[in-house]
Amino acid sequence: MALGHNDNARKLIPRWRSPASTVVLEMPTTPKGPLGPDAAASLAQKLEEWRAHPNPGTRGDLLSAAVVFGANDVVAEVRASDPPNSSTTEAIAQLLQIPDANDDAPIRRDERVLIRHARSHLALEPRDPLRWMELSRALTIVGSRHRASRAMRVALLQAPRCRIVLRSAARLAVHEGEPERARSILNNSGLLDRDPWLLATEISVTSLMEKTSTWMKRAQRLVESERFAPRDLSELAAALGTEERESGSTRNARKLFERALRDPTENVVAQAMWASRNGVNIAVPQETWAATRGRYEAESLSSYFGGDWRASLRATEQWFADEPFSRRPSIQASYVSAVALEEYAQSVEFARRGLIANPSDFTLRNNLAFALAHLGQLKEAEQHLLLASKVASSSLERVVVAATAGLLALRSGDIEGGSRAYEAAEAGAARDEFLTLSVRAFRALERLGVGQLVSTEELTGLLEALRKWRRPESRALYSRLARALRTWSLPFDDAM
Amino acid sequence: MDLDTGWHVDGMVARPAGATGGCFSDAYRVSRADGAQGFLKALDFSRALDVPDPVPWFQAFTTAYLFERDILAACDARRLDRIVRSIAHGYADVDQTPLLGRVPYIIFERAEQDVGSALILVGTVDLAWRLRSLHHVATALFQLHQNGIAHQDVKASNVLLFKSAGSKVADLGCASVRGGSAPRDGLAFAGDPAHAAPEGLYGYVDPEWNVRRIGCDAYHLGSLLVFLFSQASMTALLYAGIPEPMRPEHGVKFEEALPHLQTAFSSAVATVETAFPTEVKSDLSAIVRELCYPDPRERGRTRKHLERIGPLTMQRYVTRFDFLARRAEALVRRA
Repeated sequence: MALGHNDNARKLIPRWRSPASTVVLEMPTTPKGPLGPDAAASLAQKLEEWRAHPNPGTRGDLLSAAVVFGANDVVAEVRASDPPNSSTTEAIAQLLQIPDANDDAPIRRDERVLIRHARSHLALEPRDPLRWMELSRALTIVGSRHRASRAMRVALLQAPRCRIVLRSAARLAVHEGEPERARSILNNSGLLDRDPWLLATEISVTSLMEKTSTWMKRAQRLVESERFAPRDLSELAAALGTEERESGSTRNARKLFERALRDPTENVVAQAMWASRNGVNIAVPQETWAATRGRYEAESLSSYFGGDWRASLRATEQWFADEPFSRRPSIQASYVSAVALEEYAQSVEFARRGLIANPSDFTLRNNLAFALAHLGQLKEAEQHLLLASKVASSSLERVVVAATAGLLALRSGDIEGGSRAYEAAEAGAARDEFLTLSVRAFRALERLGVGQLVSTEELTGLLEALRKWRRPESRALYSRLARALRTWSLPFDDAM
Repeated sequence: MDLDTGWHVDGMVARPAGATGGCFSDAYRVSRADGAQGFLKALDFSRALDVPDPVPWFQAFTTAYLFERDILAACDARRLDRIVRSIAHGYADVDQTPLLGRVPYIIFERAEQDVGSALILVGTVDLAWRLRSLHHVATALFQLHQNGIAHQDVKASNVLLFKSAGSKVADLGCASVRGGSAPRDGLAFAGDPAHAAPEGLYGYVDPEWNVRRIGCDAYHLGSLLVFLFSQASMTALLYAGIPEPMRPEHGVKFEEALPHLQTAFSSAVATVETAFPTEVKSDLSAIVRELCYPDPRERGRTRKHLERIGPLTMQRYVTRFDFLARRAEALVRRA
């Protein structure tokens, strides 16, 4: 059986994007007002000089001022007047283009090119912490963990008090399964008492370690203080809200999430959506939702919870482009493709891409085996399942391995072996009602897939049971079983 | 009109002379009976009539005038031959209006044109000319620094071309004097924002005069180099590479923005390199990397000597530009 990402324990771990995307998506900006009187006068004077004496000197002076003052109309006017054989090189003209601030769609870039680009820059100018950080991110995406850590260490040495570097370094440590190191990076910065963004990360990272941060009281005081803008406190309030929910205090959690949603980052919106599905009575206001840029995960979750698999997959693809090293979007995409949409080739593609940066991830390895089996590539599926079984550590993972082994056995014609594996999976899942139901549903689907008979009572029983669970996973399985019943022209209630 | 210093006013220069000390000035062509030509900068007190609060305006105006007059006299006395000389100064009685009728002026030696305007001859203005001009500007800055003066507003329009003497630096209105006080000392940056060093735009003021002022001049020299080859200031190229929320108008602190400036700087230099002629590309790139490095505390250090700490000095840039200019001149002679 395939597995989605674990929805029970989302933590507010910072995103790790390019530095430019990070500041654009996380930092609040006030809309640009009109130019101040001095800037306007200076620009007007340069414009007058250029019009009176159009030469490269007055043109360059005006263009430089227009870029610095953000006078896009003047930049456009000067550029439009350029003769065809302008002495300004195209590269410089390109650099002086003012980008569209609203164009924030994530672009999937070739990491190999990014790595070459970063290295060539750093060879000439090594004093560039954000470029080291970008190199580290690109190396993480291609699965070169050791080098990625080394590059991040240089970034940290060069900018030990830079928030973006510190949060990215913490994110990398979490990605590498070392939250303890993430915590120590943050604590060693000496900035936790004054930077709510870093404090939010520390609290979430400590929570990942199943511990409580020693900074909780300080964090609460910061949230209650009026010292910071709502955007600056958004992640901290959401991190505290997540901790309150964990400790069972859903009322406090709701209040904190309400505070977090005053001016949230997309990560906070996704966290609030998750919290709303996990016991906290909170809703993301429509205007907040609409105003949140880069909300790919939130979109993905929203469509997933609503059963709109296509929309969910589209948003997940953007989420994956936004954070190509993260296991969660690739797990989600491989799961939705395989289980809800039965598009196994696509599922294989997502799982493979996710495995580049997460080669020892159990879920991705298992989902790859599951999708490959459906495509009839049984030998390769077996190899991946073997690798998955080697890294399976929890009882859930062992159940999943057994169920996928059952699928492989049935697909290879070993009916008896398949039944044995599914029975083992069911036995392993006995304490978890939904897991047991899922194993049974997957087994029934597989048996139908290989042409085995499944009684109408069993199918309708499964449908009844799945209907009780208001979970997206049960909805996906329900739809598939319902389709199977329809194929057999058996009567059933289509509505879940 | 004849002036009491023996000069005759021939006519007004159409192009505005620019702001001085937050005040306004007009420019005129002047000549003397012996054939000497000059450029007169007249301070127009009558503009005070348009200012809502004229008292501080008068104060700033007169302080700026006196500062520039005295500093030019000091430069002249010390024979700083790469600074545009002031030939005379005084008052012109333009009418009988009390106070406003007496216009203070400074007469400078007259240049052919400024460096920026000369770039209209691009294609015929060769590499050797640009490098020699940069050598002259570096020399001017070195001369000023040796005398405890930092210019603070070096840009193409403040570098004037003389037929026989080559390039000289003009407009000391924004200058700062080591151990002294100058009208613009209280500002994070004194000159034109379009050419300002990044620390100035972010309001960072280093406690050390050398870092603060010589660092600013070094940046301007590097930015002038960039301008002469790309027709854009390094400040504009840096600015274009900084993500919008990290720009100074959003109240971001310099330390916070510095990592972004470092990345923008590395990209800007890589782009500017495309405009450098192949024969001097690596030399000019290295000079820009040293002079325009966004952190003033590390400005002037080379990639290979990151740990070297010593006062930033223009001397080595005088030598380097001279060497490059000689090489380019030799190439021109051979061609």
